[in-house]
Amino acid sequence: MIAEKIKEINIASNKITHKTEEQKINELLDFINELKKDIRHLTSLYENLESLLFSIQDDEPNEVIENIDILNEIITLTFSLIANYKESTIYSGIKTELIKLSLIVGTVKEIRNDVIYKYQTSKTKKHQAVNKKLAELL
Amino acid sequence: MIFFSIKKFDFQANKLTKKVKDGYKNLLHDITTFFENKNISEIFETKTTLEFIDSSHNIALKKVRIPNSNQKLSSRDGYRLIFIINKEKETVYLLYVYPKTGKYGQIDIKPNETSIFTQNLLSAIEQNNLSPRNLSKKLLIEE
Repeated sequence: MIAEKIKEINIASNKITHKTEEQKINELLDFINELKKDIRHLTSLYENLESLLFSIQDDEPNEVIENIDILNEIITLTFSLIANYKESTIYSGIKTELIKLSLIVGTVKEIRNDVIYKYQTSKTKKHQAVNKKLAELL
Repeated sequence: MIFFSIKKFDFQANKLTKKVKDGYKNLLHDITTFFENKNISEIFETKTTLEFIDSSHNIALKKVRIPNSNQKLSSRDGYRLIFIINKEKETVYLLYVYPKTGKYGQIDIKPNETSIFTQNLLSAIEQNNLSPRNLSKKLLIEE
């Protein structure tokens, strides 16, 4: 939906010179509305991220791994936003914000990989403990 | 050789053998055929060992191929049986079985499932919840 909207805006921007003032304003208003929706979605995702970060701090890898799709969604959505806005004519206006966002998402990706590694390690430890106990009982 | 099964295996075996038309009716007979006339070492050496449970490599988690005589399927297309074998104590613990084809056909077990199987067996032992099975009686549960 976001990608389609941005394409529409790009097409609209290319044709902007042929449009009336009112059309331009309406398109910009639509664009702002979409942007606000994207930002709201991202904000809610980043709020979830915040609570996941607290779970990591509290050393609860299970909690995080169960919500790993939130991290994946943040990564996918942010990358697609960055890619789409780069194609947009408004890119130069929000370049700094996009760079900041790509830095954040890079960190999110690292966190996700760390969490998965930590979870797998703790799972392996649990598995080894089960095997040890089984070997004693069998 | 002593045989036990966990509830997960019992449930799966019941489900598969319940209806003749599903083509798994001979499951227990086919499993019996696999174990019959083999000594513990031969079974222990059968492919595939998924992992060793103990450090001295006397207890192993195995996955073996078993033909399906009901559907006349080779071992490749038949069943996969997951069990733990203790070579020293000559004991086999049946954990899970699944067919490769048919109504309940399954491609493979998930990578993390092996740890679930071992956990299931540990719980069954701790709760004294193992079903004894007799090879000479086609692996039926002994009352």
